[in-house]
Amino acid sequence: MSAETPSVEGRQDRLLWIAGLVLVLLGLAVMMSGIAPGLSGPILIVIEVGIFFLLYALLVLPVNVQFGVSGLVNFGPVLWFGIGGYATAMLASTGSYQGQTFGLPWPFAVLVGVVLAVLVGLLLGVTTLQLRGDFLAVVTLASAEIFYGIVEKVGGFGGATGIGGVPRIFEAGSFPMTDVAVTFILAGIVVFVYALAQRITFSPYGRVLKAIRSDEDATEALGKPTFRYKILVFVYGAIIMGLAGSLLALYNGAVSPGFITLDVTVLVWIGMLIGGAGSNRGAVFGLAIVMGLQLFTRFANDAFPVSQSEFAALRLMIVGLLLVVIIRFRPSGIWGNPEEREVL
Amino acid sequence: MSILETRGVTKQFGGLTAVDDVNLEIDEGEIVGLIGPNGAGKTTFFNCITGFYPVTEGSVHFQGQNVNDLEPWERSREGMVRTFQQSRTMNSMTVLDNVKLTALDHPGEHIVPALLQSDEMLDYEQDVEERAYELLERFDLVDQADTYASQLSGGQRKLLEVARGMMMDPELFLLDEPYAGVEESMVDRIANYVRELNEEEDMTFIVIEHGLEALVELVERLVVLHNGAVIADGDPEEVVRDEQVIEVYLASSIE
Amino acid sequence: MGVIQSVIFGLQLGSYIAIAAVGFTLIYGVVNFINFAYGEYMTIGAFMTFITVNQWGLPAIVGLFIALVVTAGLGWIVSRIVFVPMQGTGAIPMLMASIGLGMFLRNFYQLIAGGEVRFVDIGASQFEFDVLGGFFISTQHILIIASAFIIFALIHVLLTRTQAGIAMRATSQNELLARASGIRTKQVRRNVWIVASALAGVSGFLIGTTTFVSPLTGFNQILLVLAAAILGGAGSAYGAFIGAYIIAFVITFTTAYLPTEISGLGETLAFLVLIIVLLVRPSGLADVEVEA
Repeated sequence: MSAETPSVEGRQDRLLWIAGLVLVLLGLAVMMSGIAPGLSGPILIVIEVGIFFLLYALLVLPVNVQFGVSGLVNFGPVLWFGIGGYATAMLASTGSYQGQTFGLPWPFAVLVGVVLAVLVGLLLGVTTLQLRGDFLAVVTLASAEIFYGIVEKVGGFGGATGIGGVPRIFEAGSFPMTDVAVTFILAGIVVFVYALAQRITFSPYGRVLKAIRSDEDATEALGKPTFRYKILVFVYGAIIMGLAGSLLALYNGAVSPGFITLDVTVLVWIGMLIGGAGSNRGAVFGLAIVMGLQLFTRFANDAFPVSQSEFAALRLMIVGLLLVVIIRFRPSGIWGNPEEREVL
Repeated sequence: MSILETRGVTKQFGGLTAVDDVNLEIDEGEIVGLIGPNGAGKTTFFNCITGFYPVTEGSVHFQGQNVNDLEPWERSREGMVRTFQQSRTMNSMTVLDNVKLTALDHPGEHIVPALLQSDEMLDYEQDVEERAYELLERFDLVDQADTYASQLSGGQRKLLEVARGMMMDPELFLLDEPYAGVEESMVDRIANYVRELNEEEDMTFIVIEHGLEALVELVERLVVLHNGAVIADGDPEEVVRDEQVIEVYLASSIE
Repeated sequence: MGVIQSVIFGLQLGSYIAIAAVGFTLIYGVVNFINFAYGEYMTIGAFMTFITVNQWGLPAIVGLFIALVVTAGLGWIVSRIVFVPMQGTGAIPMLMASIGLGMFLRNFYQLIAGGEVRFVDIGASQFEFDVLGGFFISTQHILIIASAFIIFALIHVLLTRTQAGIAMRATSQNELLARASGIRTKQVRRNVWIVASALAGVSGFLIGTTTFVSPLTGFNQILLVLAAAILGGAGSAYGAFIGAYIIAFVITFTTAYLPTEISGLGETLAFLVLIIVLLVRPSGLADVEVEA
């Protein structure tokens, strides 16, 4: 019948929710079981990169709904990532070498983190969403840099060292098992968020967002309060990204400015563009490609008599080149739909 | 019964007066033509009626209600639907989605029902889809339902704009240059649709065109704008023979 | 620290940001996109300066010239390969491509030159003064500030007295109108790439001699350059020039006068200024017309 249906192909959607639930339960099981099989070095590296892939996936999905689906250029995902992370860290930490801490229960800290992220999302949304694309990019970028600057330089936020002593709620007895548990739990959460993103994208709600991306004024002439939609897309994104930051803090036991640099924003955007902005699957797969390259270099480095920093440089050159090539020759990305790409 | 009334509507941009004290009363069921040379202020007037431009002076009344304070999206929900001079279809969406988009009061357009995908929402969507297909059939676009709007011809896009406007059950339809960039054969089709809708649904139309004779056959009343002001308003045959009107058109074509 | 000293530092910082901002904003105005790889062009200038002055032992002025010419050439070549074929695809895709390009170039430099920091020695002498709160000024300061003003004067002449420059301004303001009046916009864009790249090279020279040379030299400044250009009004060379000094003064004065705990916030403050400008007056200082 039609190109899209409001329910995301029923079966696929159901599978996602089940898979997500299974993953989270698996993770909790690992966490509580106390088993501690020996894990080899390479697997540990995969898990380590995997955890960051999953955290960044929680950034790429909202950014994709904001940009790929709705046409809003958000160049500051690390702002909300950072707000969630720092708020949770500072409120829940029992004591940090530097910075102000409050030792409050972590669920409360997470809630406050999300609320603050939402407030900032609202503030930015209300003030900036009428700006055209590249200006919006600049404002969101500048906002993220402002946040970065403040937490890096103001002692109360931990400065360059950051905030430590955050309760590590995913502790599983032995170090590698914590990471395994976290991987499963985060994977489950990513699957949930992906399912939500799919539902939004392929629903009448998503239809309005796509119309806004295509022609905002015409959409308004057709009875849709476009401004409201745009603000809410910013707010919903803020919730997920803030939550991701909280999860980082609670997994890592600490946050620092190093987690919210421009490099993270660039990584997320490159992943989304390579995979195909507008496609949730594309965004996640594209991010996987970019981080897969990171993984590859960590292993391949051993095989080549080249220094670590040189290899890292080579990898990033490839990533940059890949982005240029994609934009030039396949702007809709690997999994994107060329018909649905707007000239923005 | 008057469906649209503009009282002293004036729009100024800095020192330039684009719409000059326009007082117009349109009755339900009328097909009114709005013509004038380029720059006469026709589209600006539409923008004032629909709320895209706030008026500098004056007020717009729709179905007896002063709508000056209503946003464009609110006015269109009241039943005042417009099309654009250069077709503004959603080109990265399919024809079917373009029409489904404008359905009113869809629960699926709110975040919670969209996420929960309730039966109520799915049923509504089913109805919307049926209605959309009906409209596409009517405007002979049903074969293009799954085509992306970017691939339609100019005339087809104009029709698509009408079809999706129809989804909103308009009382007043404002068509901005529906013939512009449209193939000969399409022009008659569009005119026929307007007449049909006017007869069957008692829909009121205001149609903008910039050619002097373009609307004589279609409309029952012709209004001429020049420099933002109304210089003629009445029977089409008489208006196009009006000396002042002809002079204004001649003068602008010489420029 | 005396006010005069802060002014001198501000002028110095402002100078290399200003030259880069002018080049950056020319690209923004004429080619219509934010070139996020512009910092990497500046880095070329910095490296050429290092090679010329430190490795070949030539005078600073030669370093400036080489930096200018090499960067102009390389910048033009890069634009031919990456951006010219993308003409018309839109501001966002081109911005994205420039992000990828920037990442590629930064790491390319890292690969071939290594990450360590290098210092350019142009043998500056310092003069100390005890009046007006006490300050020192070195020939380096004078060189930097004077270069910036001289280069800007040349740009001014270019933009107002040469056909090429006038064509640039016309295209920047309204491309359709410019083309309708017979201006060959393709050539104008080519000229802009050359001039903007040359300016990046000069800025690289200025930064390299003032601070240090590394693969990240230019990238470290890109956000300030962007801020200056937007503060001045996207596309306006004059606005960018002034905007850069305003931002530089905001930074140097906050560094000098804020309590130490938050004195590093100068740059952060500059971004705040940028955001406020975008919200209150997106057309910038020069009141450049902004299309929605």
